[in-house]
Amino acid sequence: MSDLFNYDSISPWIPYLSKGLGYTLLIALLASILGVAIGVMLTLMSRHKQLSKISYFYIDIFRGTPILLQLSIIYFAIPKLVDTLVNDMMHLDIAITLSAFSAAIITFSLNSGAYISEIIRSGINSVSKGEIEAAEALGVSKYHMYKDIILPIAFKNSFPALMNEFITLVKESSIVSIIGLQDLMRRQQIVTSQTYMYFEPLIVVGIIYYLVIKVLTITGRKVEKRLQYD
Amino acid sequence: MIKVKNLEKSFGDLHVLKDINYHFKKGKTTVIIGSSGSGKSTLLRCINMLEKPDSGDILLEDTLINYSKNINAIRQRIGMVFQSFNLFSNMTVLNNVTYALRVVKKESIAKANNKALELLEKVGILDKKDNYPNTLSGGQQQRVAIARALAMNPDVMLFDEPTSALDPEMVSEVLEVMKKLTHTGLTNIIVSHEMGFAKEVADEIIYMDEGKIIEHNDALTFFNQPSTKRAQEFLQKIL
Repeated sequence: MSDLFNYDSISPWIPYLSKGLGYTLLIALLASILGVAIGVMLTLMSRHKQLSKISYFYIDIFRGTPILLQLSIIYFAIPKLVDTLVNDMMHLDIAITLSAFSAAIITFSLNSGAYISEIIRSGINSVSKGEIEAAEALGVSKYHMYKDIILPIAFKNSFPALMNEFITLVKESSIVSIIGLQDLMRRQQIVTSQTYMYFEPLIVVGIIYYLVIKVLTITGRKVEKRLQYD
Repeated sequence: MIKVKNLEKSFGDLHVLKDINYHFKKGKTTVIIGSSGSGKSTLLRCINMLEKPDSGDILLEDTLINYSKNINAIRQRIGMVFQSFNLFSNMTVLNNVTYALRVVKKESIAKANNKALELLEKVGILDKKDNYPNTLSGGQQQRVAIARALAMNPDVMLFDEPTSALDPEMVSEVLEVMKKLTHTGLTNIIVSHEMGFAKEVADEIIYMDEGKIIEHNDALTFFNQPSTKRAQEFLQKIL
């Protein structure tokens, strides 16, 4: 056993590895909050004649390319591009930097916004036409209809999909390790480079991911049950 | 109470209502019958603008309903009961009935609750006031839907095939409630396939076919001696 999994060698590193969970969860949490805001905005835009084209284009691009590419463009390419535009072409000397953390939050928010808008849109479509007509027939205003009937029902119906998106974010946030943010995956790489151990830190990080996602899944199911109207 | 003049409505190529003219009288119960696709539901839905007429006028007393800027004010005076109940699935029975009182009529919660409880008792479903709609049978849901429409104290009630989606054993409980609403000063306009019920409660019968009113008559005359051949044939088929 000790040859396969050297617990004594990895145990001093476990606290260091666990701290990576902070970044992992913070990125997922901030990105999902901002993602919901972007998602609602895109959904509202998609109901407008001209703006719907922008919304469609945005969603198409973000769903049609890998997030690793999006992160690389935002972290490596765009600061360089802005730097060239501002300093070289306008002959200025302004320091253009984007921290790895900001780049991660921006990328994941923009990316999940595209997915969340699709979730919200299908949630709204799931509200029965009859309930909306009943509200209309009672003289209820559009504002109250959205606030009290359409959005609450849409939210309830799309909760499982939103939870799923959050879990996806927790897992996908692991790619921020490529820009040096010290999340779980990045810390594993650091431990590996210091100790020449691969298996042990990977297993520890894997267990942490698995447990966190298990807790999220179970909590999600409980909330989902409580949201049922019966 | 409600005057319909030269009403026309098409869905694409389908001409659903063809030059409809009728005066629904105050305090009377009018039952609209006819085979499916004859335009009866569309006529009903035009009265509270769930469908927009292509041309023609609809007046509630002296107010022109179509072209009205404030359709919500008019809709408060016209209650509607749907074939598929359409209760708000995220609200309890009580909140279904009080919702429009609170947000449209801006009544206090206490006042709205009192009115709702009274109506729920009237339709015989007070014991389910804290249930959500999906735990009720179709007949129970439809009675809640009737209470919800009545809560607004409308002048006119529209019923769009209120028993068509119900299991046979639940039809009568809904019809009993509807019967109580006749001869109360309320103007009822009912689209229905329940001929026995129509015979019993209707002051007037309208028979529609292919988007036109073929015959309108008092109920007794209509069922005993319909004056048009098409109405005779229709009655022969279904009775």
